Amino acid sequence: MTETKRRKSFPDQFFWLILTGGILFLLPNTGDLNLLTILTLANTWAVFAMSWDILSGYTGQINFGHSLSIGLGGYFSALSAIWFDWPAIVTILVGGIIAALGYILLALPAARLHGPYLSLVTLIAALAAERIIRILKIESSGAEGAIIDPTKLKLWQSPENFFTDPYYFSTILVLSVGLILVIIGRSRIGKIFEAIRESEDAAKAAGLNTTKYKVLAFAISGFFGGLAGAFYTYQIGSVSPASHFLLDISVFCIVASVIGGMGTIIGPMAGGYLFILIQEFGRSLGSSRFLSLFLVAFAILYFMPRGFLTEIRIFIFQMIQSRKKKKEEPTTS
Amino acid sequence: MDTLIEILVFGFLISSLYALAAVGFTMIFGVAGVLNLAHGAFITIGAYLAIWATTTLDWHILPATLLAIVGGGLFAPLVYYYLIRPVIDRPVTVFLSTLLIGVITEQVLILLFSPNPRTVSALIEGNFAISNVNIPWNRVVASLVALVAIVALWFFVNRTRIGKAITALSMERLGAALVGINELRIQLIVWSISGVLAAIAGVFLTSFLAMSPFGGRVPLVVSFSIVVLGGLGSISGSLWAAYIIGFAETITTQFIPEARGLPSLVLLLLILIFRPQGLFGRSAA
Repeated sequence: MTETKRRKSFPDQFFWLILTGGILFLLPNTGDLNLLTILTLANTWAVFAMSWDILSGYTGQINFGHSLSIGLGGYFSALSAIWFDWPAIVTILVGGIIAALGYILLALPAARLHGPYLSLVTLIAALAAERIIRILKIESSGAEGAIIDPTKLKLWQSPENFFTDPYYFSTILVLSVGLILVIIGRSRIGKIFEAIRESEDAAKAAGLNTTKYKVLAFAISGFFGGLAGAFYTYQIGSVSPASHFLLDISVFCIVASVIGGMGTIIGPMAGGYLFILIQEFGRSLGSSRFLSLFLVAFAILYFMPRGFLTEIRIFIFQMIQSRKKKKEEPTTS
Repeated sequence: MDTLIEILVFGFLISSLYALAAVGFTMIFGVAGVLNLAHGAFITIGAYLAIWATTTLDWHILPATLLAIVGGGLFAPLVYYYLIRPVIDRPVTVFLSTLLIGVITEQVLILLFSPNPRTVSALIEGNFAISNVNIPWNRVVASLVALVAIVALWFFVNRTRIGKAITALSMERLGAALVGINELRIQLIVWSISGVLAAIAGVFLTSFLAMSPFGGRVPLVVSFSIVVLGGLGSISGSLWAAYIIGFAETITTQFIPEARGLPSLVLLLLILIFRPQGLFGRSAA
């Protein structure tokens, strides 16, 4: 009994990750540099959406200011690169760790709040952090607290090829973060996150320290958001409130996750790719491309609450099931 | 001395307008239990209806304001009836759909009117001076209208049968249903009031400053701050909080212009963490 159940629940999420990885590693063969630049952007933003999902999709604590982690990661990686001359990889990790610490600091008081109140705190924290950065202007060379330093904010000091290097880096980033988050989501911790989402009182009654797990979810989400934010700094060669602490990043995370399917990690990833590819390739459509994306998200929210990728996965799963039954039928009857 | 007068007068004028935007927001939270992120959209829709009427139809600003009021009063209950009510038992969906309604409205307005800021003419031209401070009559009229609207609302809620039904519904949904209150009708009235107040605020904001399709975001955040500070669901609390936030904003803008918006955000963060029910509100959530 348990044997068959286990075989049924084979994680198809890994197949989707392998599929994405295969496509991403084959695409450089086309030699289309424009496509690779866009995909680098899409990879980074897909990590934004995935890191939002491990907190909000899994535990149900809707985070309205995910740009906070992206901004913290972006700023502290840039600052550590400028102050200490550390290599890019190290500063990106520093960005992730600082963002995780920031999220823990935010979560300790915020974990007591529920529903809209928690969302408000996250939104306000992100807005306040943006204001503070604008006022402090640390190491700022541009307007409004921007740090622009294309010589130090460079992934490799002597790039062989400007376009392919960040591309591979971001591809590895999106695949490894995706893999880690899928594993976390399928682990005991992920199950506890889902239990908190379904009913926090029931989770408490089962003897779980829900506050601890909520803080943990914040920390994980902040770490990966910070990592992606730090990489984003290197990708565009600068960091500013207008690029990292953007309300639109937080909105993007929500829309991408709703389109792909909240609480599945690969759903937000797919939604993120869809969003960025339409945004970049649909430039001739002007702002109507955003309108259509938001309308699609709206329709999915109402008619497909599990997201489009989840529906596709269920469809494939049911097809496989019915084939199996057809094969079995002649032998049993 | 002039600085003091400036802070007192302009702080008072802008606070009244903030209160107008926030009261509708708090009523919707109190009665429908919805934290309405589309409230910014109600403000911009009112503003753009007035802009459309004055520029394309070449109307005077007064009938244009009336059109905005009617539009806001119709749009908000329609949003509730067709988009929010069907999913009201899924709180996360409601929350996200109000956000999406907000951003969709922004994009539609960009398509129809371009992303550039627009403005409308003042209701009343001219200035008057107290000592050396010039005060536009338009702002005084706006804050008077705002105050009259809020006082009228207070009487409506506390002194009429429908108002008492609104209070009853915000206290106890089941109990209100048991004594024969038509919940849908009350909800539609509340959303309509909220839309009307937001539309008035939108028209005035457009005539003082300017309005862009994203112009609803700042009033939305300000409404958040006011409503959380005053206590979600409390009208008189919102009024007090609007003046606290309005004066805090005016004082910072006067002395440290870069820090505009920061004091209210920090104040808000502290309130949410240490006193989530707000300064004046009953405990909620």
